[in-house]
Amino acid sequence: MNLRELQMEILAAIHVGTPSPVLQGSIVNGQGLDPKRCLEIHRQTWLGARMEVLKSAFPVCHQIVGPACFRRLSRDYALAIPSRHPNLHLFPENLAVWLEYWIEGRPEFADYAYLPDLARYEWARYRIQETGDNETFDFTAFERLPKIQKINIRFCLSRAASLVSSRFPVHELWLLHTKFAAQGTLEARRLPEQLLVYKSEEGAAIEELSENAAGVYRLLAQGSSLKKLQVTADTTGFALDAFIVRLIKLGCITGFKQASHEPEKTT
Amino acid sequence: MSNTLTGTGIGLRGPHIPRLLKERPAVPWLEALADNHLAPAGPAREQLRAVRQDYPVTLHCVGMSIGGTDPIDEAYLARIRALRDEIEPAWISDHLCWTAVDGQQMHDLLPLPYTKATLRHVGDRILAIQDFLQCNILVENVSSYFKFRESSIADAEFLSELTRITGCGLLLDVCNSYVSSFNHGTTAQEFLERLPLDRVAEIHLAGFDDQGDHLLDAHNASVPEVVWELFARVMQRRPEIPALVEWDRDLPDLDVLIEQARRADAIRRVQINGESG
Repeated sequence: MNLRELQMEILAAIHVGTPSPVLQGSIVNGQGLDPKRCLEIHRQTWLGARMEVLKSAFPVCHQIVGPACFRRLSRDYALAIPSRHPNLHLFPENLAVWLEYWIEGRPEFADYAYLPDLARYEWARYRIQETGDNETFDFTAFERLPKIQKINIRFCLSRAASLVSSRFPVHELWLLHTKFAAQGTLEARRLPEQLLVYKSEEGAAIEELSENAAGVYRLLAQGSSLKKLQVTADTTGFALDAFIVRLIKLGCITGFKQASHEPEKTT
Repeated sequence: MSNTLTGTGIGLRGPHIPRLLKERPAVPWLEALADNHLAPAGPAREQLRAVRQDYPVTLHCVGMSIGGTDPIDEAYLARIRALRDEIEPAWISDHLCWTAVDGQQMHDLLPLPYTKATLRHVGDRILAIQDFLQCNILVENVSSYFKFRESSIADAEFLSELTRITGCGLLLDVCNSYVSSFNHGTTAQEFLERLPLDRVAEIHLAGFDDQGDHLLDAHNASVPEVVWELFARVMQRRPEIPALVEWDRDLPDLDVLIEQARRADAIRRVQINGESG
């Protein structure tokens, strides 16, 4: 067994909890621990590190499902979506999407349909801690642009800003389980709640958007040109200029770039 | 990078940073966990920049996967290099272990078999890393919970050979040497006597957790007496080596770490000046 094969055997043993016979034969411990116990020490570290960062990113999800279930969830997620970035703080980024599949078909989660949206909301808040201060939008440079160029620019969004769309009142649910406790309800709404999560001086801040505003925000996130945004806004009578200025003030729009020659995506 | 650090520093941890910045307590130097400060923007980088205004700093890494078999992660090294260029640490260190395989990050320090083939492999990777970073690094001995039957080279000799082949320095973690020796049924004293102390540029001091059937490298407690005793023996031979108190979990008040660092320096002074502790 060469070094590569040995490391792959250890990876497999940490995943399944039992070393293969060939790996068992390769390991010795001076205190008489059997190979399975030796690898269990690393398995605990492997799972513990992941659980810790997931718990830190999703404190309310952790509270809601409880420690035992959260541990099972963390293990399943770690096996399904291995950490591929040296920064462990990026490991939770796919949990919300994965949760949608994980809770499906599990009767014990029938009342927790909001969990993936709540996870999406908590991740939006968590990632704010990992991003720097928002850059300041250069109004002077923007105003200097000739009109023909201006309509073709694309705005740049802050990495700290996210749009969370949910049929459940995830922000109120989050408040219910944190020190800022307030009264809330878990009843699903007819229309999704559109929450803009962004970085303020105090940390994560929330602003509820209308359906039209959320639609424009999604186009912004897709890199649509100002011209396309305007066409969309005109069809619904949406006040685009005021919305753009608001996003700039909140630090959600941090800059702009000139249009490329690539054809614009149609949605 | 310069290696002019003296005395005993402490590991830089987030909860202590506000007080370090506000009160500037007398600590000779700080060691930052490089992986926590890699984002070029953001609060972690900003805090490190601010701390660097007042303290010498070293960078301690966990992601080079020196003993790994995946290709060396040059994107990661480029970020380390950018951080190094900005922060100007006294040196950069990482561990003699592997931390990723098949593209999967373990976020753990896993042991290697000590064979001639591994020595060549690890030596080549250290040379490539040093070439990329344009500086020699320090390599730290890790705690381990098992050994490999195929190992044919003693731990101290393996590290010694690595320094000879690559020119790297050593970061001696006294706690790790005790934890590993206990788990392997050997003695840390033997390991320390065989280690080339003239290649050791830094010492780590930390606490471990007694789990009953093994000792765990937990960094969750004060330095135990048995580690202080081993440290004193190292100081008898090389009292000038700078040391560092590491504490990661169940982090206490900053004063506790500073007190531990002062105790280390008291042990050091006994050897240099013959002062009593």
